[in-house]
Amino acid sequence: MVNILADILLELKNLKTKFKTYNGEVKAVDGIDLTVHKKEVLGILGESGCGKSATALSIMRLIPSPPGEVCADKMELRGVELQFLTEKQMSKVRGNEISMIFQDPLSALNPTFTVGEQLMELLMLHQGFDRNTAYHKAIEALNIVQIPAAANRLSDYPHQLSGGMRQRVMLAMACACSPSLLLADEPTTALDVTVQAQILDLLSQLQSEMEIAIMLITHDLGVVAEIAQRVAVMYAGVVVENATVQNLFAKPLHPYTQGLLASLPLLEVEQERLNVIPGGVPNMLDLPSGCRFHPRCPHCWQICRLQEPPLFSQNESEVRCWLFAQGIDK
Amino acid sequence: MPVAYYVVIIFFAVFAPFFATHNPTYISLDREQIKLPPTASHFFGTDNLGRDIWSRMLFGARISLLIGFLTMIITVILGVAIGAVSGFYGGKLDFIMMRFVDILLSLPTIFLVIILAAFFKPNFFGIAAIIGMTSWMRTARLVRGQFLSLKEEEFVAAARALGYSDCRIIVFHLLPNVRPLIIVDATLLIAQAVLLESALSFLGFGVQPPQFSWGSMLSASQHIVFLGEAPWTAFFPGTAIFITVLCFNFFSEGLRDAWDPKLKNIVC
Amino acid sequence: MGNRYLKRLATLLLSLFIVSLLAFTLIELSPGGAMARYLENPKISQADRARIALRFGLDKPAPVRYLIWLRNTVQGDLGISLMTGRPVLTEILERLPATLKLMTFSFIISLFAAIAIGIYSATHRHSLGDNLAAACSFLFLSLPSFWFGLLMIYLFAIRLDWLPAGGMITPWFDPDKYPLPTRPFVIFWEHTRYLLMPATVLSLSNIGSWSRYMRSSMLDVVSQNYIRTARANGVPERKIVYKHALRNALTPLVTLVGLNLPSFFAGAVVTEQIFAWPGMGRLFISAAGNRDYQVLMGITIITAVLVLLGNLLADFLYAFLDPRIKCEG
Repeated sequence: MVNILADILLELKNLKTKFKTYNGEVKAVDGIDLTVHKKEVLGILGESGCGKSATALSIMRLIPSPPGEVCADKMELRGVELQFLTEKQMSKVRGNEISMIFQDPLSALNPTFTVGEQLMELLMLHQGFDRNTAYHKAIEALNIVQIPAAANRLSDYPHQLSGGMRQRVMLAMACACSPSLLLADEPTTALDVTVQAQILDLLSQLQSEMEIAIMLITHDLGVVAEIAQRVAVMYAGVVVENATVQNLFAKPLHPYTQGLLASLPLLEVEQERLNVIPGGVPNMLDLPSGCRFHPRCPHCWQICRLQEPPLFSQNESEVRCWLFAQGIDK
Repeated sequence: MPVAYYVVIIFFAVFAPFFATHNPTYISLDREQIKLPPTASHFFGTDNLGRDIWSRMLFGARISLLIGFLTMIITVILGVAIGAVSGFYGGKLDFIMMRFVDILLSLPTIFLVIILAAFFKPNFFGIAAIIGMTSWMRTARLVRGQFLSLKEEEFVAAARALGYSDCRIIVFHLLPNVRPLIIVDATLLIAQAVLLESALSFLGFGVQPPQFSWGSMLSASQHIVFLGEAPWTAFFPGTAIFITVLCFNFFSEGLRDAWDPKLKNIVC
Repeated sequence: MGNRYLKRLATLLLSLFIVSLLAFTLIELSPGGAMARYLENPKISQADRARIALRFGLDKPAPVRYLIWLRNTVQGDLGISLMTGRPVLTEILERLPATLKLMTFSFIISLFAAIAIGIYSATHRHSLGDNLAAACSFLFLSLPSFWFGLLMIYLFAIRLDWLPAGGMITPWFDPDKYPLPTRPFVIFWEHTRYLLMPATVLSLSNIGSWSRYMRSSMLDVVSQNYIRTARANGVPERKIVYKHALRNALTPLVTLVGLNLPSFFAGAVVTEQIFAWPGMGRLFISAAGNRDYQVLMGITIITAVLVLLGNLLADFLYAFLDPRIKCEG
C-alpha cells in the first residue's frame, strides 16, 4: 500500500450489518474491511442491493435499529471508535466530522423550510454561531459550491431549484462544517449527464481545497474513473476487489470486475450484442454456497463452490478469488 | 367476536316477544312500580312510567337495528349509484356532481335531518330515508374514486370493444370489483346510522311514541332529578347503543384488515 | 395567487346560495310548508291563518318568497322569528357567542390532545401507550356523545358534585347580597367550570379520529428522505420530531380538520341540549320543534357561512404550512 498508516482517516474491520425480515435474516453487509485515507476519494462500486448504501449508513449509525443490526470489530474515525459513542455524541459527529449526501436531492431536502433555514440550522447547531453569523456563513457555503446569487437562494424553497442546484445545496450542507469525511451515496444518479460532470468536478474541488476525504458510492464505472483514487468493488455484501483506479481499469483481477468492464459498450469496435455477465444478482436470503459469485463465474472451480475465498493480496490490490491463492490444490 | 354479538342481538330483537317478560308499553302508575332498580322480575328495572326496561330494550332493539339496516341500504344504493355514474363518465358531469357533494358536505348533516324530521314528521321508513338521503356523500366519493381509476383498466376497454352497454359494464364488470370496499363501508354506515337515529330520537325528532328506540329511551331519562334517582334508565339503552356501534366498527376494521390493507389509506 | 382565492370566494357564495335554496325547498315541500306551525293548532281559525299569512308575507308564491328572503338576507335582515316575534338576527346573535365559546374551547382541546397523542403514538410505536391510545380512539369514535354526556353529568354533577350539570354561568342575582368575585382565578374558574364537561363531550370523537390521523401522518413523514438527511446532519432526535417532522405532518391534518368542521356544529346541537348550554344549537332545536322556519333558515345560513369561512381559513393555513402550494396557486 502506498499511503502511510498515519494518514488513515476511517478504518473499518469486519463490518456486518444484518436485517431481520419477515422471510429471514438478510446480511446486507457481511464482513467488509475498508480504509479511507485523508484527502482521498475511495470509490465503492457495485450493483443495486450489494450493500454499498448499507455500508455508508452503518458508518453513520443511521441504520434503524429494530430491523437492523450493525456490528464491527473496528469502526474508527481518526482513532475514535464510533460504535462506543452515545447517540448524543454521535449526533455531534454527524454533519460535523462525517457528512453524507444522498441520491435524490429533492426528497432529501425538507420541503417546508427554505434552503437558508436548513443550512443555518446546521451551522448554528454544530458551530454554535448566532443567526447573523450563520447567515453569512451560509452564503459562504453556497459560494463554495458555486451557486450563483447565493444570498437570494437562501430564501428559496427546495422545489424552486433545479436538480443540479439542489445537489449543490446538499453538498453545501454537507461541507458547511468542514467534515473530514464525506459519504456520497450515488450523488449523480438522479441528475442529467452534463450536471453530473459539474457535480463531479465540484467534488474534486472540495476534496483538494477543503481537504475532505470522500467515500463515493456508485454503480457507474464512469464516475469512478473520473474522480476516484482507490476503488473497492462490492458484490452481495462483501468486497471482492480492492485496487487503485488505474489498476482496476487496466488490469481487473476479479472475474466480476472483469465482467463489469467487459460489459461497457465499446465505441471503436462494432458490437452486435452487448456483453453481459450471465445470471443475476443472488437473492440475499438465499446466498450461494462458497464464493458468492461462483454461479456466474466463467472460471469456477470445485473449491469455489465449497468455500468462500478470503482476500488475497496481489501486488497493490486485494482480491477475493481462489484464482489468486498460492499453493492451494485447485 | 363481534359476530357473536350480532347473532345474539339480532336473535333477541327478532324473537323479542318471547324474551320480554312484560308488555313493554304497559304503563303502571303504581307508586311501588315506578323507577325500580334492577330486580329479579324486572331485569333492568323500570322507568318513570313503570315500564319494564328489559322488555323495552328488546323491542327497541328491533327499531334501532332495523332503521340502521334500512338506512344503510338506502345510503349504499344512492351512494354507489351516484359515485359510479360520476366516476365512470367523468368530465363535466363528474365535476358538477362533486362540487354538489362538496357543498352538501359543508352543511352539518344533522341540521338537514332535524329540519326534515321536524317538518315531515316521518314514520319508521321515513326516518331511514331521511338519514339515508343525507349520508350518501361519503360513499359516493369512495366509489367514484375507485371507478375513476378502474375505468382505465384494460378489461373495460375490452368490454366496450365487445359492444357491452355502459350500464352493463358498470353493473356487471366494475361493481364486483368495488364490492369489498362497499361492504366495509356498509358496516361503518350501519354504525353511523344507529348513532344518528339514536341522536335524532334523543332530541325528540326521531321515532315517536308509542314506538320507541334506544335513543328515545335515553331522552326520557335526561332530566337531572330523574337521572339522579334512576340512572339505570340511561345506562342500559346507552350502553346498548355504544356496544352495537363499537361492534360494527370492529367488524368493519376486521373486514378491512382481512381483505385489503390498502383500504386503510382512505380518509373517512 | 389572488386568482385562486377569488375562485374560492365565488365557490363559497355559490355554496351558500345552494344551501339556502335547499333548506328553503325542503321546508316548502313539507306538509304545511312554511305555515306548518299554524296548521296544526285547531284553535287558530281560518281567518286568523289568513291574517298571519298576510302579516308574514306567507301568501306570496314560494319562489317570490325565496327571492324576498334572499334580498333581505343579503342586507342583513333575516326576518322575524315566528316563535318570539323578535328579529331572527337578534335571536341568533344573542346565542352565537355561547356556541362559539363552546366550540372554540372544544376545538382547542381536540387539536392539542390529538397532536400530542399522535406524536406520542408515532414516536413510541407499538408501546403500551400507543396501543392504549389506539384502543381509546376506537372507543371514542363509537361513543354516542349524548349518552356519555349523561354519564358525565351523573358522575360529576350528581354523585360527586364537582361540576355543574348545566347552564353556562351562575346567575348572580343580587349584587348587594353577593359581592361579585374579583380575584381572577375565581372569575376564570366560574367561567370554565361550566365549559369543562360540554367541551370534553364535544371533543371526544374528534380526538379519536384526529389522533389516529396524526399518528399515521407522522409515521409517514418520519420515513421520508429528508428526515434521514436531517439525522445525517446530526440534528438531535427531539428537534427532528418537533421541528422537521411535525411541520410536514400537520398539513394533512389541517385538511382533515377543515372537513370535520360541520361535525362540530352537529355535535354542538346535541351537547347544548344535554348541558342546557344557551347556544345556537338549542335555538335550532326549539325552532325545529316549533317549526319556526325563519329561525331555521337563519341558523342554517349562518352555520354554512361559518363552516365555509373555516374551510377558507384551513386553506390559508395549508398554504402557509406547505410552501409548495403557495407557489402553485
